[in-house]
Amino acid sequence: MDTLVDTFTEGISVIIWACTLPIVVPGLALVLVARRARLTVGLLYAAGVALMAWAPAAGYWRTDLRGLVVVVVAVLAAGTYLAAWKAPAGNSPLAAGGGFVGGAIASWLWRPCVGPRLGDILNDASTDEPRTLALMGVYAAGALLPLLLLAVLPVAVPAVGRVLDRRPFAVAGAVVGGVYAITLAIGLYDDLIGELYRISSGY
Amino acid sequence: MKSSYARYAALVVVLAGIAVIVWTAVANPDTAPTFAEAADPPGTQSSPAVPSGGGAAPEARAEGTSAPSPPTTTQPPEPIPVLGTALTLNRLDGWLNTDAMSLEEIREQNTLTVVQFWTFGCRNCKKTLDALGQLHADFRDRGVEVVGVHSPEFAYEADVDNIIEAAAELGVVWPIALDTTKYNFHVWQEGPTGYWPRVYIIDSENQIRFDRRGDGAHTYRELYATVERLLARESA
Repeated sequence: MDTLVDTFTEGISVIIWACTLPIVVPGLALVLVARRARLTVGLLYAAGVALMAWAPAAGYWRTDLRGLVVVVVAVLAAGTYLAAWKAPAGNSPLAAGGGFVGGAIASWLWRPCVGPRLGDILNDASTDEPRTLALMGVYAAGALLPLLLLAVLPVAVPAVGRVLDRRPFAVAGAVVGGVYAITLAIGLYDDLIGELYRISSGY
Repeated sequence: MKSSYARYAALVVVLAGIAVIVWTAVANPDTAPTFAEAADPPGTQSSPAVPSGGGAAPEARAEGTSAPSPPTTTQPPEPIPVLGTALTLNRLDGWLNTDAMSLEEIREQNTLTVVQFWTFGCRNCKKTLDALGQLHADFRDRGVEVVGVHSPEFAYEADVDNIIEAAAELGVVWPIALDTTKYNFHVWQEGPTGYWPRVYIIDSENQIRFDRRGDGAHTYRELYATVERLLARESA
């Protein structure tokens, strides 16, 4: 139990760190875009992040993101926003697919700064697969808590949902998603994240 | 009725989530994990970190006590596995804090080489620097060198002046290899994802004997103990 709590809180503690922005920012944008399926998109996004963060350490996904693959992934990333936008309801395959693939892509791009709990998960991933995968899910739930809360908030407070349903919010999410896909395609994604961090930290 | 239950449940989730975030921010300060902080519970230590001349073991030093009692069991420690052959460092932008021009040169002058991938903007990396500094101070004269491979995540971390300034502020006195293009970061860490920090021990036969990700104090305590054990074997 302590491990679960520690893992979850370690995830929360890195939310605003620069290293975590590559998974938090695209996820927030995706949830904003998914007006009729926020919860599904948010949960599946977190699942995609967890699985793809765990898989390389466990030895299942060793494909480098380079060359033509980058362009394909950028198109896919743009597609996840379109899928989330078009998803008619939470039980739609578009919502599930958009969320999961979006999370997996963001996680593929993610090069985390590793704390003690995440380090243990990654170090043990190849020898203790079920436990480490579950713990990675817990870590992702902590690190992505803002977007999960954003997904739950409209259910809890319908008035907030009505505000978030307005077009400017979805457009803002779409713009972030578009910038994400374009900067990824032209190789400037890391620079963009770095600049965001530099501005926010006043470095 | 059903939807109002769902609404209340969702509200509880949101409030709990916000409370957890606030609690974590307040109660979980960004402290460096000293050796003492993450000491294993009694009886669970796997490595006998008994000092062997180079200084007190980390646990003893941090807690201000003498060397820990020997383990009660008589089981011999597990052998330290060979995890593969170490690569070299290529396409570097240069070195800081050393006259050496290559990893091979440093390896030839030492019995063990501890290689850590880090970047000065990475908080988790910073947390490990005290532990590495202690390792460096305790074992430098016994043929152990620490090499920090600085692989910047962001543009401002690639600026050499910033690296020099940060190294001075952070007390990094060991050799720094400037891996500005992250070439070695990706080559050493096979697959799509590299991690900061990641630390290796390379022995005198260029074999990797230790490889861990993360900033855990237990990880760096294990690093210290492994260095001690490998040194003991090298000198035996």
